[in-house]
Amino acid sequence: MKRLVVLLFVAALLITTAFAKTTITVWTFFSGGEGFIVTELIKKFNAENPDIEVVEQIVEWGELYNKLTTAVVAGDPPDVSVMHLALIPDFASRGALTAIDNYVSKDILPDYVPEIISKAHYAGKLYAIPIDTHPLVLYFNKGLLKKAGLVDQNGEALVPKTWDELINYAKTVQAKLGLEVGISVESGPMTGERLFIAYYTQLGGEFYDAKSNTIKLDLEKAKKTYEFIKGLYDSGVMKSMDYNTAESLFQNDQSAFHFNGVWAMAVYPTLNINFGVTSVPAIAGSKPYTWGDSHTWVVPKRPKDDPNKIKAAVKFIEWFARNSAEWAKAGHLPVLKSVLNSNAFLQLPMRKDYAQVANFVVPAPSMKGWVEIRQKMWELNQSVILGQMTPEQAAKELQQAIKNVLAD
Amino acid sequence: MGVYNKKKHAALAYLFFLPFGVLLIVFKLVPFANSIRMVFYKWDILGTPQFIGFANFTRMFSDKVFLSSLWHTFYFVILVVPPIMVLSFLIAILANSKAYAKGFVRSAFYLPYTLTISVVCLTWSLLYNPYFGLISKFTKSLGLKTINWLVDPFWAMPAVAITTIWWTIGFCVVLYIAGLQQIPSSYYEAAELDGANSFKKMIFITIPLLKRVHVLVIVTQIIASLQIFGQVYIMTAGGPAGKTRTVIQYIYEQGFRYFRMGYAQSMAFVLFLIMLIFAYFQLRLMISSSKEELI
Repeated sequence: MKRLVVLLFVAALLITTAFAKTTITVWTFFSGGEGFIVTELIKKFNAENPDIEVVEQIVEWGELYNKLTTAVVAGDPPDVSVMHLALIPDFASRGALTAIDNYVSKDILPDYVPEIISKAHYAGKLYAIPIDTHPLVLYFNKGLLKKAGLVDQNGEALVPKTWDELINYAKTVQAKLGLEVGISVESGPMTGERLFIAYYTQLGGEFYDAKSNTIKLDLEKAKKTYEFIKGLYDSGVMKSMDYNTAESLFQNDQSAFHFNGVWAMAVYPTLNINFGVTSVPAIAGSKPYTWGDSHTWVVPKRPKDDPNKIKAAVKFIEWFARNSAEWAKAGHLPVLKSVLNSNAFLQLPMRKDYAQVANFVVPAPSMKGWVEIRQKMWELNQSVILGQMTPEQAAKELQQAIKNVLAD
Repeated sequence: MGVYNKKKHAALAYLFFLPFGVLLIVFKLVPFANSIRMVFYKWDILGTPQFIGFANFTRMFSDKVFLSSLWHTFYFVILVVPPIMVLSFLIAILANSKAYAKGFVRSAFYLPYTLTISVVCLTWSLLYNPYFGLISKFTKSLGLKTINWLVDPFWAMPAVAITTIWWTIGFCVVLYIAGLQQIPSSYYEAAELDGANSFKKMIFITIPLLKRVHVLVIVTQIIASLQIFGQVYIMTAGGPAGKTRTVIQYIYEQGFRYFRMGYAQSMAFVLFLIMLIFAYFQLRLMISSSKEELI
């Protein structure tokens, strides 16, 4: 009898501890080096938090948003999912995300880069915990610049600070060394959306009109931006190419400059390239504003909220954000100022050269349907480069596309 | 042994059909019926569908991007189907001949068909690369101008078509080989006795007797080509400037990226009707050719 009581007691204890553990499923689309870091961080979190078990489920990169949409409709989404900042309005506006204002720690919000955390809100509510920003930056090949004689008094490669300097240096290297291009950059998203937003913002252009509280394009500045981009292609310093070609040219000493996201920092330092990284150039008198999206964690909406699960989920995603110096090894910039200024982050290779970029990041405007606008931007830009559309026509068409999407 | 019972027999037949029938109804017919219903709705997947009558169709026919995607799709069909027919026919003749390389020819042309779409497309993207690709190395050595295949608005679609032909021709070759093997050799022997040369044998025996195979190849290739998506998605992403965007790609974008499922369903419905027309012609031609054979 005694034995039975003890046995029952032990069994009861086991059952309660098993029940006390909250399981959190997390959907990610990270693979390669990024995937490895996420998995390691989750392992670490689980070890530090015995009451929560985070289970990672890797979904194919191109499929995650489709699957998430259908999982929300089916009423069985994961407890946490990764989501790009630019997509928050699309999902939040349709009731697919849980507002986490009441769950998040009060001290974390003021620690964020303001521009980023503001975009994690939709209609006044917080829907996401951003873990990084991955802006467009400028890579330069030090070896080629030196070979072409573009060095300062100390013999170091010159780093362009303005667009004029960049174009000058690029043309010089291209001509002197007989390179295919001066600047290698993908001509769809990278130029049409990212470079466009950088230059347009530096001109003083905005996507948001505070007066009417609407999303709006500054037609004149958009036109100027297209003229600028067209000029780069017409002069031959840039040529139409896809992403892999742009990277290969830079990696094989065939272009002196290269525009790409900071994610390339996960790979470039491991290759045999003598390169540097810096913020995109600035128009004289402007700050070096640049495009940047962010990875965030969101809590998808279930038919019935389970406060315990949401609490555990938010605990995990906050922990992840606070430990994002580790995540930054993949090249991304932290967006919590405390992490951005931490030694753990700044001691990573070359991070000091582009850490300041986090302060000049321009995320996509907070609007439903941005995905459609940016697709349009990629195509309009190519039409302009190919001479099938004038910069003015392209700017007008972009303005119209924004109007149509907003009206839909 | 019991007496043959018609009722029992029918019940048994239904029982055998049941496992497949249930799956067919649940996973094919019900979604199909639903998708047809959705053409009359505005539906963002996450919200409640909203009835809008024929608005999706009026929108579609004033949507420049849809119309251009439709044209790109037809253009792709034109670029792929005639060459694939002629080439697969010629290759089949070669593979069916008594040539010593027969086995090699057969496997060499069938091999690409066994590869997955991403492997094929990524390999060809490398081949097409104007700076590092094998094709540009070759054209350079001939002193020709380097073509920037996948970002040139004129060449992008032909480049995708060439890749597709290379990838899928093996299937058509197999169909033609099967057709060729069904032609009795006595026909050729008789023709030879009458003094027909190989050209005449080809024109008057081989080509006409392969009529059913021609129809099968044309129609299956048209229907497959109308559904082109993966190749452009991987190789050009619909670019440059949307010049290679196809209907299925646009359906995908509208449905899953822009949350316009009702609109996407309507476009899919139009594509379905177009394919239905070709399938109907195939059926008619197949039936008439099998009647001829009976005579």
